[in-house]
Amino acid sequence: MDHKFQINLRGLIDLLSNHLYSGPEVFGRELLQNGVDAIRARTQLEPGFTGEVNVEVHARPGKPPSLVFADNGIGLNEEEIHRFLATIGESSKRASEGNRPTDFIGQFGIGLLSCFVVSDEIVVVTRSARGDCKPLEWRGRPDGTYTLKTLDADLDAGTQVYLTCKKGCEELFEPERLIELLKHYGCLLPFPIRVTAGRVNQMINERGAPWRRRFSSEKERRKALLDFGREAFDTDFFDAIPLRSSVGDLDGVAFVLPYTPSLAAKRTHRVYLKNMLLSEAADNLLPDWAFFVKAVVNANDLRPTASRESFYEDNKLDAARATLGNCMRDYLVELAKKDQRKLEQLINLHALAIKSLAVEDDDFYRLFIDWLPFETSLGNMTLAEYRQDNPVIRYVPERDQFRQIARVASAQGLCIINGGYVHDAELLAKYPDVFPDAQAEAVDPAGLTQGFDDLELEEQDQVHAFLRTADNVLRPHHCSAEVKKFLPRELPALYSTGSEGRFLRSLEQSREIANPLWAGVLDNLGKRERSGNAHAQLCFNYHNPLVRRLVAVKDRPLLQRSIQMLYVQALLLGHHPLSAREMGLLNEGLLSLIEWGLEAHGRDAGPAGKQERDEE
Amino acid sequence: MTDPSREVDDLLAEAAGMEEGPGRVALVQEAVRLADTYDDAELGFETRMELVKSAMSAGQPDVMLIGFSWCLAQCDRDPEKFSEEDLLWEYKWILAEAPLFPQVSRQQIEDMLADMEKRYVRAGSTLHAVHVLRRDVAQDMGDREAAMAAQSVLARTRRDWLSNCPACVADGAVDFQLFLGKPKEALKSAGPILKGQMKCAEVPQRTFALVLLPLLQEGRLEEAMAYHINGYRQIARNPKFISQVGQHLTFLTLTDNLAKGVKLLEKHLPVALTTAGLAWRFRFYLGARLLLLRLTEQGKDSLKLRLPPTLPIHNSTGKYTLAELAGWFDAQLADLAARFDARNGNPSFSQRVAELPALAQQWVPYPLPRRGAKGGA
Repeated sequence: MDHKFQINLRGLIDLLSNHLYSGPEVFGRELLQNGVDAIRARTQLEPGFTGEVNVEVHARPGKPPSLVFADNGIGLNEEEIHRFLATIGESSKRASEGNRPTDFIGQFGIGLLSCFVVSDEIVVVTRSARGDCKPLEWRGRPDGTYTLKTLDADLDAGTQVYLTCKKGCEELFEPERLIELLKHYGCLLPFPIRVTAGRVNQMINERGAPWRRRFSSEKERRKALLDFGREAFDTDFFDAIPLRSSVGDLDGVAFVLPYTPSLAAKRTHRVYLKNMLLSEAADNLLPDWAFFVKAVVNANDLRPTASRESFYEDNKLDAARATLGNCMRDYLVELAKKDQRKLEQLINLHALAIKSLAVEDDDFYRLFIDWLPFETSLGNMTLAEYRQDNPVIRYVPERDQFRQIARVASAQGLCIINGGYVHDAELLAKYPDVFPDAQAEAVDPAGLTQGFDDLELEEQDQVHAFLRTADNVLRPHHCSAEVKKFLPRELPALYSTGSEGRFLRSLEQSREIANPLWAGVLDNLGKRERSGNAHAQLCFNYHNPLVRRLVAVKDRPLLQRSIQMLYVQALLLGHHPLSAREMGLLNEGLLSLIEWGLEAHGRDAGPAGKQERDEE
Repeated sequence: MTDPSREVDDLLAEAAGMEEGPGRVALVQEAVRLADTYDDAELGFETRMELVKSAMSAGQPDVMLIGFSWCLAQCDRDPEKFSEEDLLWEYKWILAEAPLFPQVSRQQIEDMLADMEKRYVRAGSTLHAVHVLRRDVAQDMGDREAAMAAQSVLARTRRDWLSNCPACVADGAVDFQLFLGKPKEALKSAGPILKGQMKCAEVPQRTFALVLLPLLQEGRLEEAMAYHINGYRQIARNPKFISQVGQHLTFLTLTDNLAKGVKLLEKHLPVALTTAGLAWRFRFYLGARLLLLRLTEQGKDSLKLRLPPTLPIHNSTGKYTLAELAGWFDAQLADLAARFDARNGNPSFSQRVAELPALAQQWVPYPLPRRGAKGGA
């Protein structure tokens, strides 16, 4: 007898193939999931029962290929068949929300439905393991009609699904593709899954999860894990870290990437739920700092999200994540104890990840900080190397500031760390917290000059007038003047400013072109807690011959001009963009230098060049 | 001679590869300075727009404002070359964060809103986004009437291409209802966000922090705890969310997870001390002060804390009496509240401080779930 669904099945299939399922190949996952669920149900009924799945592909000359997917699970009786059909009828709404029915029978129906994407007719032959049932044959078509009949045959309990390849889906019925597909979804499943096609007869999950196998040596285990990683991701990983957590009943492996990942790269992992592939794109499984690994993990006791992309964010996942974090942390700690060469290689690749963990975890910090590399004014070195020669850790918090002073610092033989890279300043500031006897200080570039040699008393007298003029010239630029002795000798003056000073410089740039409304806002914004008036300093170098000569200049206009020009030059050397006013200084300065040059030339050349002008 | 745009592009590309935060801002600032050194206005514009974005994401509203105002001035000076339409979206961030600075006057904020509105009108906008901001700004300044007036205009305005994403708009509605003292309605509006049906870059993290206290007051502790754990994890590393950290701190305090609260205080105080957003700092300090109140009630009289050396009461032993800590926070809160109240022309900030003792009485013990410390069998 014929029955009719109360829904438009074509529309539903369309919906499923276009929205719920990522592609037609999902039918493989759904069939496998149905088999797994059926076997699990039967195992609950008959403890000790061994499940299996057999898939046969038949290439039929002149006809489309067909496929039989058989499990020896719990099977269905007539009432259950009607129930799954009812679920199909109801499921259009659920499917559009990405939800799956929670009961086994309902899921069976939804799973089966996906087969219509690749097959025009579905035949299910099934016999229930419960009670004394006859085998049943259900034959469904995508127009919504089906037949159901009782078979008078002697069949073992279980379910067989027969599919006939739809035009355009031939690729999915090729044995190699099918094996690849089933492996992808089910390679971790704990019972045999066999594919037979002509002469091909392969068990797709023969080896199971490599991290669950026993090995005679650590070396062999590592090799098996890395082989698995290569096959799964086509990558030769640096190393493999076993993962295990009792919370979430979870196991797997974290592969250490053989390259330095971009910080912005999305960190996704492959996750299995009860040994069936759930997602390739789980992004919330590991702690944030663990971006140096690619993980493969199975969880038996975590909830998937509705979209089945990842696990649901709850306390259990939080606890599992902490435990997985500990697995990776323990691995690193072991490495530090046992194989320092390898640790160095790993740090070369993944210093940033290790730094992010060290920021969060003091015990880890204590063990690792000395191994970590930093850029200094005397080149790259680990913190241990740095501390050999420098009892106090000195660092500049920003890269730009570091560049301002690196040249001068290295000329003085000062080793200063560039704290401008991600985490570096934070890590260095933390040093005295973790090692209470140690000292670390952030060097303000403006403070660097404090370490320069002061002038002798006599010399101070000599520069007194010069300094007074310089202070006057520089005051409008919120800059103060000093004379000290430093290297390199060729450098006449060093402009230095801290972050507050640079903030105000950038504010001033915007203010110069802003309309009155915004100028007012910017003025108010600049009214912050401030330390002192000058937020920058121009330190003249007494070792520099030009400065020596300037100190003796009595001609005030010439001296003023020269100071202004040295100021602008020092700004440019420090990569500070000029404000409009400073640009004005530069222009006027250049012009008057040319004039002075011409005057001098005129004097040398005799009466022809005579003139009388008063410089202001 | 190297090509300046090449160098600038390299810096911007490097910045794009970094996670959002101060490091990225510093790099973009470097790109801005480089562009300026070459005196290239177009590069200066491009890099500053990048600066506005990264400073917004990293919680540096002052840096954002300075970059934005430069770009806006360029548009006004040379509209042929720089189009103000490129700035309309970012203008919302500016207005959203301008009230964070007590030194920016109320009149200036009104004027900025008017300036923004003028430009939105020119672009043919429905002004939906402007009305949202009028409401939010009034709310930030504790002005109930003005906020409600803006809301009623907003309710009659269609969304347009300049409106914030639906998740942000919904989150704003939750915040507004809480401001009006309607926690039940707020929780109801938060439903779709909490269920995961709406999200964006900052939602649901923002909303999670908002609903902690109302959920606690409703006795829905299990739910609140889940949002605390999930939400805190997502915002802990970004200085932009320091005021939300204050809300999590309040939650920990009121669920009697005081030890965890002290850890949060220690961890985030350095950010609160240096953030330019003074209203954010204020809200974090409220959470800190509440924690100290509860600790005192528990009979504690001193704490071992690692505090930043820049803190005026810092000492090298790391041991602090609750009295000195409380005294310092009280002075800070009083000073900030006075500045904000003077700007706003109402006592809403001082009121928040005065309400702390009553809030402290609302505690209900609800311990944090234990985390698996070690890998299991």
